[in-house]
Amino acid sequence: MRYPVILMALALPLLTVADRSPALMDARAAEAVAPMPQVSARYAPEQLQRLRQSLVAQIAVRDDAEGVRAATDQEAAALGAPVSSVSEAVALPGGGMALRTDASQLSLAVAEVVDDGHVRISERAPDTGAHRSTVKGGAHVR
Amino acid sequence: MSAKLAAALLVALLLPVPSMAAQVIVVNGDPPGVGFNDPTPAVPVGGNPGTTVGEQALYVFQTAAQIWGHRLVSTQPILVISFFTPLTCTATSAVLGAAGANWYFANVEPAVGGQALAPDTWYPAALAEKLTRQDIVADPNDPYEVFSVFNSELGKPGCLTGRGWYYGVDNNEPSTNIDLLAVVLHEFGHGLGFSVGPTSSNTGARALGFPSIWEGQMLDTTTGKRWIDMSDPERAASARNNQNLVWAGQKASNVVPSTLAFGTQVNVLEPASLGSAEAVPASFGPQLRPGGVRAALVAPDDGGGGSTRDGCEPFPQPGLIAGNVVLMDRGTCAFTVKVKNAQNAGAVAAVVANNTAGPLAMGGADPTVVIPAVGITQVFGAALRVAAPALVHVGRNVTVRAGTVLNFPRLYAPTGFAQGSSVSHWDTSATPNMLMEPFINLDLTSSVKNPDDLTWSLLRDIGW
Repeated sequence: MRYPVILMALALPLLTVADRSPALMDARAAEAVAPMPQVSARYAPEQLQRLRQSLVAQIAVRDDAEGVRAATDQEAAALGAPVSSVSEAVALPGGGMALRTDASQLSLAVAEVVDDGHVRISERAPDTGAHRSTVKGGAHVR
Repeated sequence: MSAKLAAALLVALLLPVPSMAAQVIVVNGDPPGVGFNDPTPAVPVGGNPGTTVGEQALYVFQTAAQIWGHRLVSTQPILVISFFTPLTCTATSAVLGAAGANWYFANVEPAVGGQALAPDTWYPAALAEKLTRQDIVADPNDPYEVFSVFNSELGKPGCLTGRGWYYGVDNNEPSTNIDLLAVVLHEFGHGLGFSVGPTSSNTGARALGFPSIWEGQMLDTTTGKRWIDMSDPERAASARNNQNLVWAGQKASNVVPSTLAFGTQVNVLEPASLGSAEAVPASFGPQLRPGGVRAALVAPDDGGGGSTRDGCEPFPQPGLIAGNVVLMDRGTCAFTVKVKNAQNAGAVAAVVANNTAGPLAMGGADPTVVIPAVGITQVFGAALRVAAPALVHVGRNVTVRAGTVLNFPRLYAPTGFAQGSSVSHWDTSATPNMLMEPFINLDLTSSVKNPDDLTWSLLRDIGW
C-alpha cells in the first residue's frame, strides 16, 4: 500500500494545475460565477463621468468603398471630444513610483458595418483621428 | 523508499497545495438598474445562465476573468473595475469597449518571497503585484489593477442597430451578433500586460524617462536594436517599420512552430528575376492545396467602373482568364466580389495587390467562393502587373512561419501609424489569427495559449 500513497502525493499537486479539460473548466467557471456579485459603485459619479468622457472620441466613419475612413474634423468633433493624454505620477509610500493611466493608453475595440454588410471589429485609440492602415481590417470581418 | 522520504511525502500531501491560478475578480462598477444591473429579462444562451441582460453581461466578464485566471499565476488578486455603460455609437459603428492597466508601477521593493522588479522600469499593476507578491496601493480610492468599460447599448436603435452582443460563452455567435466574450478576453489581455504601456508608441517618449517592461523584448530587425536601446525618434520610426518590428522574447519564439502555420508566397517562375514574395491567404474560400497552384498569372481589364484593374465588375473576356491566376488591385468593392468575378471567369486562383503599404490580409465571407485567393503588397503587385503574363506558383513556403521574421513573431507596425493599434498587437500576417491582433476575427477560440495562440507566451516573457 505504500506505493499508491506515494503516487497520490506526487500526483495531487500536478492535478491542480494540469487538469484543464473543457468540462472541468466549465464546471469551475459555473462555480465561480454564481451567485452574481452585489452591486457596488466604486467610483464617484464625477470620476466615472470623467472616464466616460474620455472614451467618447470614436473617430472612424463608414465609407461606401471599403467600409471605413478617418473622420473629418467636423465628424470627429461631432462624435466626441479629444482627451487629455497626461498621466498622473504618484510616489508610493513604501518607495517606488506609480503611474495612473488615462484614456490615451487605452485602445478601444470599435465595430463598423462594412460594405458587404458584415461587421468589422478593430482597435483604435480614443484621442486620434488618424486613419489606420486597414490591413486585415479591410476584410477580416465578423 | 526510506521511511523518512515516505513521511516527507505524506507531509507534503497534508500541506495545503497553493492554488496556482490567479484570482481575477470583476468588480461591478455600475449603479442599480443599469449596465450589469440591467433587469431587462433575457433568455439563457450558449452556456450563459443569466436571466437578465445585466446578469448575462456580467457572466461573460466573469468567464473571461476565469479564462485568464486559470492561466495566470499570482498570489495577489487582480481587481478589474468594470462598467457596462453607453458609449459612442452611430447606426453603423460603435465603440465596443476597452480595458487597460489601471496603474503602472516602478521600483517597488518585493515582499518576502517576491521578486525584484527590473530597476526604473514600468510594469502593469497586476504583473508588478504578482512579481513582488504584494498589493501595491497608490490610491486607496482606486485600488484596481485593471480598468474596463464596455458598451451597453450595442444593437439598440442608433447603435450598430440590430447587431447586438452575443452573450453566450460557447464561441457560437450568429453572424448578426458580436461575441462579447472574445472582445472582453482581448481587452483584458491589454489590461494584464499585452501593451507597450506608458511608452508612447507614436513618439517613442517614455513616462518619467522609464522604459516599459515590453521594451527589452521588442526588436527592430532592420536596425538590429531593441526598443530599450533606442532613442525616442528611433522608437517612433520602429513603430512604423512595417513587418520589421518583432517580439524577440524566448518563450514566444519557442512556441512559434507549434502555433503558426507555414508562410504563403507567390513565386514567379518566369520571369524568374522577379523572385518571390510573401502572401497572405484570404479568410474566405478554400485553403491552398499542399502543392499550391502553378499557372499563368494574367491581369486583364475588368468591365470598367472606377478602375479596370480592381476586379469589381465582371471580366468581359473570360477567355483570357480561364485556367489562369488573376491579378487585381485592392479597392472599390469587397474582396469577395473581386474573387467571385475572377472565379466566374474561370480563374484557378486570385491574387489581390494592396493599395497601400504593407501586406494585405483579405477577409469577408462568401461560401460560394471556391478558388483560393491571396493578398500581396502594393510594390510586388505593381511588378507582377508589368511582367504579366507570368508563370507563377502560389503556395506554401515551408522555410518560414506566417507572421514571423527570423522566427520571431511580428508586432503590428504599419507604415501609417495607427494610434491604439500600432505596436501593442500581433501583426495581422499571423496565421492562424491571434487573439491580440488589432482586429478581432471570426476564427478565434477562447484559448490564449499555444497551440491556439501566442498571447500567453508573450505575457510569460514579461514575467507572468
